[in-house]
Amino acid sequence: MKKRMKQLCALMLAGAMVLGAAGCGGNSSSSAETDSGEGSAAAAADNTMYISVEQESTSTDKVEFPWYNLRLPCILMYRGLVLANPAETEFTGDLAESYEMSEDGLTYTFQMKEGLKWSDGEDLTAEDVVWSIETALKAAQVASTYTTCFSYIQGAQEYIDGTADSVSGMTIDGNTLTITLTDSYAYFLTAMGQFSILPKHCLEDEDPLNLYQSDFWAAPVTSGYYKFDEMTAGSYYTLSINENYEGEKPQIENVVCNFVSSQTTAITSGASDYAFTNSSSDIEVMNADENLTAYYNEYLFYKYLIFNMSGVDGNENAAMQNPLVREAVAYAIDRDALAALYGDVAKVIYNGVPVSDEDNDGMVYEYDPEKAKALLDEAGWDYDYTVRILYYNDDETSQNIIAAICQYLQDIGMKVESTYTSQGTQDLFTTRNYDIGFKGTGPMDAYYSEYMSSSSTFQNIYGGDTAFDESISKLMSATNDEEETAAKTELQQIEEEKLYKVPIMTLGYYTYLNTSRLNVPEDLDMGTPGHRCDIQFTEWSIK
Amino acid sequence: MANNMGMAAGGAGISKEARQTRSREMMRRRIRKFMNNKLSVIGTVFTVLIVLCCFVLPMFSQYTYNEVDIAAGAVPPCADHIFGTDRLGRDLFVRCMVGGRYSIYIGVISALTSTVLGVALGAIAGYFGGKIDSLIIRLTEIFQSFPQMVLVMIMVAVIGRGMGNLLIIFTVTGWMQTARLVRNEFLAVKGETFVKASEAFGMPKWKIMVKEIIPNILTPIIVSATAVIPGYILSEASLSFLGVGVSDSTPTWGSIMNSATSLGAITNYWWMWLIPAALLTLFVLSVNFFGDGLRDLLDPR
Amino acid sequence: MLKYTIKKLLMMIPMLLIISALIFFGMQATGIDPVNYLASPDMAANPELMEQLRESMGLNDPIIVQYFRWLGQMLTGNFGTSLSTGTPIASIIANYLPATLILSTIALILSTILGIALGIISAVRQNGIIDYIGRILAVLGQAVPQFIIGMILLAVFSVQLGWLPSSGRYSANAANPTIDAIQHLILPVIAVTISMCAVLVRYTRNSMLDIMNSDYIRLARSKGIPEWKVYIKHGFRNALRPVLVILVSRISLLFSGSVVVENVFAWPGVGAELTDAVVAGDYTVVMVLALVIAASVLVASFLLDIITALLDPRVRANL
Repeated sequence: MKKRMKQLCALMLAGAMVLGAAGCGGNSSSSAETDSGEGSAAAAADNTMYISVEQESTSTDKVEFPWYNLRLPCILMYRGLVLANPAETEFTGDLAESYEMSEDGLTYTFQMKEGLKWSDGEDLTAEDVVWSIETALKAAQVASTYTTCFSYIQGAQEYIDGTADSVSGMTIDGNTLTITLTDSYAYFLTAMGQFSILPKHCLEDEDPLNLYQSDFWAAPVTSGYYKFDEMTAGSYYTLSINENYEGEKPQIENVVCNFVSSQTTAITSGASDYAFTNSSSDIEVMNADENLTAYYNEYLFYKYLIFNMSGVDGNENAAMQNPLVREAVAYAIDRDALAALYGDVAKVIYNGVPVSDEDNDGMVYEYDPEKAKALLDEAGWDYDYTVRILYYNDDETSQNIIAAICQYLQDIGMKVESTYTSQGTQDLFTTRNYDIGFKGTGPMDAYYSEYMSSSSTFQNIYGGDTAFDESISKLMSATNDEEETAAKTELQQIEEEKLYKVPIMTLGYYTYLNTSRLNVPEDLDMGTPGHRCDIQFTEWSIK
Repeated sequence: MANNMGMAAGGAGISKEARQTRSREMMRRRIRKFMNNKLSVIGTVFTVLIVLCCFVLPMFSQYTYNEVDIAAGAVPPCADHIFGTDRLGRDLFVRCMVGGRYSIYIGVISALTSTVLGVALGAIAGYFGGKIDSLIIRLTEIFQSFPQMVLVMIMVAVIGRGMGNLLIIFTVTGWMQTARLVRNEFLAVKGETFVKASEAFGMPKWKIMVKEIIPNILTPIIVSATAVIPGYILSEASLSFLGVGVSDSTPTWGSIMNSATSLGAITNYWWMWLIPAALLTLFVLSVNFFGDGLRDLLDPR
Repeated sequence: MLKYTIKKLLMMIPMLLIISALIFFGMQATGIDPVNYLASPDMAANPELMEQLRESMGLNDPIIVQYFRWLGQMLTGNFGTSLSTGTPIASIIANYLPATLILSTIALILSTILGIALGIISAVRQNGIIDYIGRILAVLGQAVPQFIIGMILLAVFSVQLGWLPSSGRYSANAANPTIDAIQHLILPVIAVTISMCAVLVRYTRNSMLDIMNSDYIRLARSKGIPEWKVYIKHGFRNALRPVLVILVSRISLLFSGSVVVENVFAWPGVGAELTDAVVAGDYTVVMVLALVIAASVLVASFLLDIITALLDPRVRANL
């Protein structure tokens, strides 16, 4: 009876809205009351989990490329050499039975599991691992976390330059894979835990530059819990249990991945069991849904402004060269207000080290438009110049942040114009038709490695500046707290001096599971969305 | 202007005075007809009211349309902010009014420019006829065969988004109907005595077109120009929704709505999208009804 | 008649040529460099390499040469690949065009039936309640932006009530695939139909009213012919002709009528595809989609020309 009333109310509400009745009273419709039993999309009550995937419609005939964006479907389909715990501090074997690190941190020995097979029945061996790493070094559209990490492997540079046919730092002896690094790299295992090993026998003929758009992704061969079943372009694809998976099989037999325009809409309408977000308006909606359980992860996802300085080709962007102008931007922005747009997932930062971190040097850019104006005047800023801001996230909160940043800059007298691009990497680092970019990355090592002179992307806007290189290497190879502190202190100093980025805040993430349908362990920790870690998936089941 | 029109409609051979009284009488009758059509009257009143509000009220507000105060964000309608505020704490009343200015501006300017282009091409086609006529007719066919929305989006891909570009795009994609209308009117009027007489006097062709014929067919042109305004306003809103409309910093009814289209905004912050949507709808409705009335008033055919 | 058909058919060739040239040179004017999509950022820092790539893609040839090469590729069915994702454009069309056609054909048929019916009733019962409702609905359908209608439908029927799916075209593992497909269609079809309907109601009503007030209808009435017969036989039949003209011009709606709605409901059609391509500056896709849409519209309007010619004695006399 009560439900009937609610439906009736909703219908009448709809009528009122359609008729454009402006005088709508009260908070019209707060909680999204859904019953998954009735929703057609969730009609099949069998042993199936539903995941929604937000993807550009141009690519809704393929699985997302796991070397670029790792999403839950690929986490369920592919594996790395090792598997991290949700905090990504400890690692157990995954494709590797076991691993060993030498005292100096330069040599890693992986013992591959015996008799591993791909979902198509072919053997999965150390060859696949070596091929994957080598290909990732040459491929386009690979997350910089991986390329940065692999560039530490001996002989990687020679391989990229084409002077060597293979990466000399990787040797295979039967089931043993040895990887030798040039310098110790503290995040090596983290990267190996995330990096998906792909089947060499399917992909070795592909051009690495086009690997991400290969037809393989319309029907991939997998190694994880699930194998790929079928793809209905534009609508969904399905996964079912991979019989060749050697470990304990998951209880959920099928996974359906629906292409949707909004994960939030999908999960609140009962069409999906999984969503993640850090957008405050989405969080409000999903927190209000009693079918969903929220898992918060305090992740260091940096949101910051980058300046288009100059390319390695010497092509300079004159407008942003004066450090006083960049400093003015740093003071013109009210970070506390911007962070409030994200709600409690956001923490304000002033450089790459979080304020709460004991290694933070205490640098603060207090919101001070007057000072910013003075700095602009001092820099001799041309007030007729229109500053071009580029951003690539089009969710509502990002759009609001950009609108606010534009306003802050206008408040100090700058002319501003903002542009959205759906080709972030290309427009930020190749086309480079902007002055200030709004970007996000995480965690700390990824944030700082962007400053490296060898960064394949950032060298195009920071001109291959080598000022950071040494300190970054120190951070990457730090094996104890003192070394780490020293490296962080140096990095903060150089960062504040150069001011190539204006950090604004770090964000955590919420993951939501539809626990009215899913049985998950009590102590479940989902880790960071888009990161592969142990989420005890074999214990998940459908109610 | 309306009086002029009445004169043009008046026949020849009657004394000037008699003609004037007759046209005044006709005008009075039409105005009565207009007043009897309640929807038209209401439409006219609301059109004028909304335009006035948009252009005048923001001046008296203590807020500006772009003043960011995030701490005061997402406030529902209350005494201080009668339309509430958006996520950035901008006063939605002032924003909707200023946004209305831009929306109306886009609608009116596009209607004007596309009408001018349409009249020019239609006049040339209708007056000169022959090869030029069939060329222009072919051109209108090509443009009309192309789905409007698709054409607009392809143009956006070519010249980019933004206010100025949008006006150009609406002009280039919106002139066809006027051109056909004007061409047909020209064909009809071309043979009339007053045109023939002007030609016999050796009046330059462009002068005949501009000074003799166009004033005679001004009525349907005005009516059709009024009728297309709402279409442009709606197109702009749709384009802003698709992310290819005016630039982000320009508020329009469409772009204000577009910043509140997530599920969270739809369910929790109704005022952020419902109010601009209602205003847009109200204005478009009013102009439609006003246009209907205008047609009855000026062009009783 | 044959001569007329052949003439119309031959006329499509220069039309297509002009359209293709407009599209090609228009896209060249965007200044988008396709090489940027293909090169990774560190390659882009190497001008020599970029030049090589440009040369190998034939981008250094005179623009006329490039145009005819492109035209040749189009004619041989080689549509190329998407710049941003590398998907063959032929498969994009094969995947997404049917979705758009299904959605808009249903909406077009529904809106035509509904629009004409409402229009006639409004006209016959002029100033009655149905007339007022019809007119208000017609004007509202024209005045409320399509995406707002779509969003309200989505919020109410999909999110609040959970009756219908919120996005996509099919769901996996559906017990009954046909019912499932229909369920996915309902909301988008309603959203498209409402706005398509509006123009038609208005138009049918006006044209019906014109006829109903004409002399020969008055004459028919004065002869004592039953009222319903007057409406159907004399009124509607004569009102149908201008309505048919409007229907012809609505053919292009098959492709563009659902652009906005496809975006609201993540409907995997060419409209959503085109939007993404425009935003991404993916101009190979924009070019082909534009050309395909133009060609389909030309073919459709050619067919309709022939049909109207067959139906209309006046046109037939002019052949």
